[in-house]
Formats: sequence, C-alpha cells, structure tokens
Amino acid sequence: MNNNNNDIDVLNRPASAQGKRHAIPTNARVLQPLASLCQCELAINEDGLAMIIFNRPMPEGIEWIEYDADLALLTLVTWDGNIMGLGLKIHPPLRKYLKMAKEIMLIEMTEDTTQIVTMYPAELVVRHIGI
Amino acid sequence: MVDYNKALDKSGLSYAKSASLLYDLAGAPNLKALLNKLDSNPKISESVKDEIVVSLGKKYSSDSDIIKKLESDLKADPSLATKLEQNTVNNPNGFMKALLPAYSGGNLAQAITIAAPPVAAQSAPKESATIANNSPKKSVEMQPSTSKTASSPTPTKDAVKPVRAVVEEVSQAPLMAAKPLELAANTPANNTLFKSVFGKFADASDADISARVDSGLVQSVLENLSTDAVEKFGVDAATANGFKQRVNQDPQLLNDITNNFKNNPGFVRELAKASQDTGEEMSESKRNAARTMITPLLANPELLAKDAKAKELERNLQMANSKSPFMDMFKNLFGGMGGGGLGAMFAGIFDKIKDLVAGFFGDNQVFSMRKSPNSMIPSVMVNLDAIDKNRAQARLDSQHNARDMTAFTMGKPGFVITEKEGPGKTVIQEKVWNGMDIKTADGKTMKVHPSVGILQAQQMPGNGDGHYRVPVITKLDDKGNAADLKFVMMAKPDFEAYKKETEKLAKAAGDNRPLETIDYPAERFAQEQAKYGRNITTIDPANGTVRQPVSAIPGVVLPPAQRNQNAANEMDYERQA
Repeated sequence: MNNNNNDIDVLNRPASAQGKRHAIPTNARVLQPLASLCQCELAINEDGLAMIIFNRPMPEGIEWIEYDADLALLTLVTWDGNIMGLGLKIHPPLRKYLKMAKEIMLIEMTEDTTQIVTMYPAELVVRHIGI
Repeated sequence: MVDYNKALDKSGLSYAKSASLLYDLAGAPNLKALLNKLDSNPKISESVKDEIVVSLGKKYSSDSDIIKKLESDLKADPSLATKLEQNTVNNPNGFMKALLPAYSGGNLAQAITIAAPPVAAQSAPKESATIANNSPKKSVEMQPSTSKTASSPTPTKDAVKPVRAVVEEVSQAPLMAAKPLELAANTPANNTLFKSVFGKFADASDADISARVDSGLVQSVLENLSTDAVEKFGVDAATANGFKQRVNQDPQLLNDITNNFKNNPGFVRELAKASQDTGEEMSESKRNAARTMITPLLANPELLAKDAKAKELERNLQMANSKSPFMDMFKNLFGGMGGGGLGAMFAGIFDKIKDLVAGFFGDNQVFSMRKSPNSMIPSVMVNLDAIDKNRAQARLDSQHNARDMTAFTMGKPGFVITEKEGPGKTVIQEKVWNGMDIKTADGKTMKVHPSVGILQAQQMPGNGDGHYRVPVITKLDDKGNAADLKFVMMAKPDFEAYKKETEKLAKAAGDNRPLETIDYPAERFAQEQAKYGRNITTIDPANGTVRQPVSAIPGVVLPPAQRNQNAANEMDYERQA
C-alpha cells in the first residue's frame, strides 16, 4: 500500500465527526413512549419504505430515529436532545425490512385519523452489534 | 457573562420595560462600557454581576430615566466609572444596592461616596469627586468629610448644596441625542448585549417592532448578520466585508432597508429569534442551507430593501426557527401552494410522497404493527394521493390569476378610510377595502374579499368533513378589481359560512354564479380506502404473530399453516443474522 503522505484521502473523516451527528446527549430526558400518548402505527413495505403514523402532536419535534436491532427497539430522538420510545417492540417479521430503511416518514393525522396534519421525514440510524 | 434577559426578568420588569431598558442601555456607550468592564472583571462574582443588572432593573421600574441619567454623569466625568468599579470590587455585596437608591440623577459622585465601603472611605486620599454638566466651567468640587464614618454616611450640607444646584442644570440639558445604536458585534460583550436587545423583538408585537426599528438597530443587525455569516455559516469573508461596507457607507440603502424592516415586523421578529441561537454546532446540511440563503443577500444588499424578499425570508426563517426544518413546513400542506410558495423546498418531499403512494399500493407487500383499532395506512394513502393530485392542481391554478375571480365588498361598497398610529405617534390614514375576516384551518384570521369565478374550492379526503382548499382574493386594486389570489385551507363549517356569505353578496350585486365547489363525500373516501387497504399484513404488537393473511397477491388469502410458516421463516432469518 502506498503510504505517501502527499496523497490526500478525500474520503477520510475523523471517526468522532461521523459519530457525533447521531450522538444522544448524556443528559437526554426520556419522554413517554409514543404508543402511550396516542394511536400509532409502524408501517413498512418490502423495499424498506417506512412510516410512523400517529394521531396526536408529538411533544417535541423528531430529529432522527434509532433502530436498535439487538434490543428490537425503535427510539425517536428529538431536536431538543431527548428520547422517546415508539412503545412497540419490533417483532421478527418487520426486522429485516426495517434494517433496509434509510429514513422513516413521520405522519401526524387528525385525532379521528381521517386527515393528514403534517408529515416530515426523519433519518433512521440502525445499530446492530449482534449481541 | 451576565444574561441580561434573565437578570431583568428577576428584577420584575415587564417585557416592555426591560426591552425599553435594554434599548436605552444600547444607546448609552459609557454605561455600557462600565457594565462590560464589571462583567469581565474576574474579581467580581457572577452572582454579584447578575445582582447589578437586577438592581438596575429594579431602579428602572421606578425611574425610567435612570440609564440616561447615569450615562450623562459618566459621560461628564469618566473617572467615576473607575471609582464605581473599584468600589464594587471592594464591597461586592452592598455597593450597588446602596448606590442606586441613593442616586437620583446628577449626583453620581455623591452617591458613590455615600455607598462607598468603609475600607475605601478610610483608605482613600482626599480626592475630590467631580460632578460636571455639559460645560466644564460649571464643575463643582465636593470634599468628602474626613470625619464621616461608614455608619454615618450623610454628607455635609456644604457638600450637598452645590451638587443639587448642578443637578438641576444637568437635568435640563438634553440627556441623550438621538443617534444610531452602537451595537456592532466587535466584542463578545457587545454581542451579548446586542442579542439581549434584539432578542426582545422575538416576542414583541408588530406595532412595537415598527416603532422601535431604526437605522442604528438595522445597522447593528446587518453587522451581526455578516459576522455570523462568516463565523457560523462559512460565507466568504470578502463578501461579508463588502456587504458591511455597502451598508455603512450608503445611507440611502440603509434607510431603504430600515423602512422595509419597519414594514415587515414579522421578518424582524424571525431575525430576532434566529439571533438567539445558542451557538450549538449546526449540522452540515443546516449550515449549507443557511449559507445558500445568506450569500445572495450579502452579495446584493439591495434585496433586503425589497418587500417581497423580506416576506420570503420571513417564511424561510420561520422554518429554520422551528427547530425541526420539516415540522411546521407541512402544517398547511394543501394550502398556500398556488403561488409556488416554498418551491424547491417542497420538491424533495413530493418525490417521497410519490414513492410512498407507489410503494404502499399495488402488489407491494406492506407490514403494519399498530396500537390503534384500525390501520391508518389506507387513510394516509388516500390523503397522500390527494396531496399529489393537489400539487398538480396547484400547477394548473398557478396559470390563473386574480382577475379570473370577481370580488365583492362587504356592507357599504367602496373604500373605508381608517386611521392607525404609526411610528413616532403619527397618525396614518389607510385606504382599506371593506373585506371579510375568514378563519383558516390552522386557526389564523385572514382578511379576504369574497369572490366567485372560474376557480373552484375543493374538499380534501375525510368522512365528508375534510378541509376545503379555497381560492381567495386578498387584495384589490384602486378600481376594486381582484389583484391578489391565494389558496387557503378552511375547515368545513368555516368554508360553508364563507360560501353562503359570498353567494349572498354576489346575488345582491346581480351575479348569480355560485362559488364553484367540489366535495369529497364519505362514500368516496371509503371506496378509496378499500383500494389501499387490501394488501396490509398486520403484526400483533403483543407477541409478533401475524393477524391478517400474508399474501403478495391482492385478494389471495393464505391458509393459517402457511401464515405461521411465513412468520417462522422470518424469525429463522433473524436468528441466522
């Protein structure tokens, strides 16, 4: 391998910079799980296209979502740095497809679930250590 | 660093008063410099620094001229600032508390003597405290009594008399000439003060903002904007410097921008919110978005003098300030699209909507796990489909203009002259067309001119109670013709009331056309939902078992054994993985 110092590795980024973007703050508050606040539904298709539908406003805006494949948990991380579980365990039939997803569309419905109030995508981070 | 907003809140000042104090303070360079010095003095504890501002706030509540008076005294005798700082260091807990009650304007030297700590009083040489008014000849020497002790700080009669005489003269002199605020962001302390002053605009009313905005403030805002552009968003420094020079050297441009800011208080409010950014590290995408927004402004400052640009920036800032860039962006998903609105920002999301509609329909297998009596997917799909169609409709609608609608007046026809208080308490007469207030679906009130024409109101999906996307006229020209067309969302009852009133007015004016309306009845909603609901596989959240038949072919129901096998296969896959 050529270790010439003059070579510029344009793809190299410090590991800390990569991880920082999706680091949950150490003082994050744990909010009530979404499923305990309102009706909610996780839907995913065979191509890994996913959405979470819910019928009450979220207490805080969601910045990204973490899928812990080892614990089968989906955690929503808010823009204020707090965390909120989905409140539903990710069961085996869904796992394979959720791992394929890159982002999840969050869709807020009216209380009677007939109309969309708002929708926005949240990036999905999949963590799978294999323990 | 003292947080002025918090400290002033602690002092019990109302919003208006604390805003006023900060504004006065911004125009008081000597006092500001003194407070900055105290703020950066390591010998003074943070709590004392806070207490100084709190005391100032308390004093301000009973004497709103206190800042101007202090500034006047400090300006007349700059050495008082050093004494004041020294005494604060010597007696951090008591000095400011004792000083401000004793101070009434013009007698700062005397008040310092009264409030001075025992050590300072005894160790101080026979120095003279000088109080001067604008004319140096009228300065008065005051000798503190050497027999005076800390427990009896009352000055002698001889010392008080001349001071009072001068105070009267000083108080008659103009205390602070109107001049631009000196708030440039060249030091961290100035920057903090600027943010405190400007931050008050974040909650201010439109009238408050319009009255307070002046060229000095705008100049400071623009300087801070250019500094932030370089430091936070990575804009080229040369562009930012060019912008600064243009703004500082072209009074006409600054004046135009100031007037535009006055006319767009909403924009100023959003700028104020943005200025309160806590300095957290921005994600690269946010930095890029901000840079893209700011760079053209820095390159061409004239844009800031344009009304349309201010309104566009206000919308963009509203999104940026709502923490999540997407959260509020779609609150009015169906409305406001006719005029192009947010354009490119929506393009990406509509691609996703199309993907979702395509991906959750047809032969695609869809899994759902939910905590709700029925799946919400069919309802979502019908809505997304409607959004997609609605966008196409918006494109068609954008080919129409306001003149395709005929507007009517409410009550008495013609213009109504209204008077309102403008900046500087001048009374402005405004020609206002007699319009109608409507309530939009997001709860806002809007003034429109009832109208009928070739554009239709369309109902959105729902159980017959969906919102309506309604064409409305918001502005008329001098001849009373429709001049500005918008599409808004209205709840069904509000729309029905609006439609009734509009048709009544049209009829009264001899126009028998109805307000064209396309309803979305509950039956149609059910049919559409059924179309999307046929291929959903439901997973029981309690135990992961499959509730509904698993089938890749719509309409084909697998036997229970096959269903369980499918679920078992998935579990095996997971185990192997």
